[in-house]
Amino acid sequence: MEMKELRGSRGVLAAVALLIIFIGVTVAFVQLNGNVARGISPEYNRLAHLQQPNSLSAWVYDWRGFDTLIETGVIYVGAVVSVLVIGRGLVRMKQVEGEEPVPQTSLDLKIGSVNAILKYFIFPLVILLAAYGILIVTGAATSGGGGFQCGVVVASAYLIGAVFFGKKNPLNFRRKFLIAIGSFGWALYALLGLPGYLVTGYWQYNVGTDLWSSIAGFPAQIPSILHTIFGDPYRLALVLKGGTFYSTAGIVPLINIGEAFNVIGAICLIFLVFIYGWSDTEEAKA
Amino acid sequence: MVMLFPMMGGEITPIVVGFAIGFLFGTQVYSNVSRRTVVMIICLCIVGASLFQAPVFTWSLIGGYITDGLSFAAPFISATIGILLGWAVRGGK
Repeated sequence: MEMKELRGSRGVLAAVALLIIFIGVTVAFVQLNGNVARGISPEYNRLAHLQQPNSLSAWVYDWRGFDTLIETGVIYVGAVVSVLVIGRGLVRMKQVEGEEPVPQTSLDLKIGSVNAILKYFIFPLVILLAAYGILIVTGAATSGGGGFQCGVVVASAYLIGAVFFGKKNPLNFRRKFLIAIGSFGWALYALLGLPGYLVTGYWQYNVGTDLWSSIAGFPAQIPSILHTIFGDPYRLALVLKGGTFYSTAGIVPLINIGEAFNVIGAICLIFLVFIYGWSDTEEAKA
Repeated sequence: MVMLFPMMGGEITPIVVGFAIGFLFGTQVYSNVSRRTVVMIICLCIVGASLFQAPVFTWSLIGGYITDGLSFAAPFISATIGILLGWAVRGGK
């Protein structure tokens, strides 16, 4: 992407979004002084230590936002480094501007040389792997994670298609598509912090689940409209011996969707750069 | 016994989201395969959905729950159908 593409409405939108995120996160960090909530891990460990003593889950529940942020950061650093090292087109140094790109050998396979079983099963495998990745992220409401795993599984489907079919990859993610879903994922993940921040002052407070507003000293009550918007879509009935209870994961499944899009965009971009480089002409030939 | 209720948002939303994301990815699928392969994908998808099963807190038929020990991961089926439909509508050969 050239800098001139960021001029106009797209650049204004990006600047406003970054400003909102910067102000929100900065103020939330400043307010942390003496206001760190203990998190849900004590309750989790008290209730579930006999059934599932999973300290990793407790950590993830308490620090969900940081967990996702660091995961995303790692993946994007990998993507940027791959593009810089292998793509060579993103940063155009003056001394190499006139040089031809390194010639790349075609990765096309002759399908006739592929084992007959693979020939018939790789396409279904790619489709079902992608669907499995989507199943993982939609299951985030009943599990501790999902976004990162979904991204890795879908990226695996993309890589398998690339290995067996080369440029005729059935899951033919284009560069623009990957950048678009990666950017959408980032925006969704970051801006989901806004409702919680505006109401409570805590960035990414889970306004759908709202565990803490009933505790004395909590800064705000969450409006019921936010419970409805962010809580009801993922509400589940827990039919237990003691009665029927209702539970919702709130914004966590949405964060996972954002994270999944992030990871799919970043990892597939790494694979794409490894295979095709960062060249418009190479992609156009594909 | 097959139950339609209690059917909560948490049982339907994953199916809708799975279909939407599947459709989005399906628009990027480029392949030229036979109808038999598509039927095979659907059959494998149903087998896979029965192996993955519905989440433990799912109680309705729409959510994939049929009876104890027999349930289907409905989002997996909806995602597969979404991919195939996205491929048919906006994908390529």
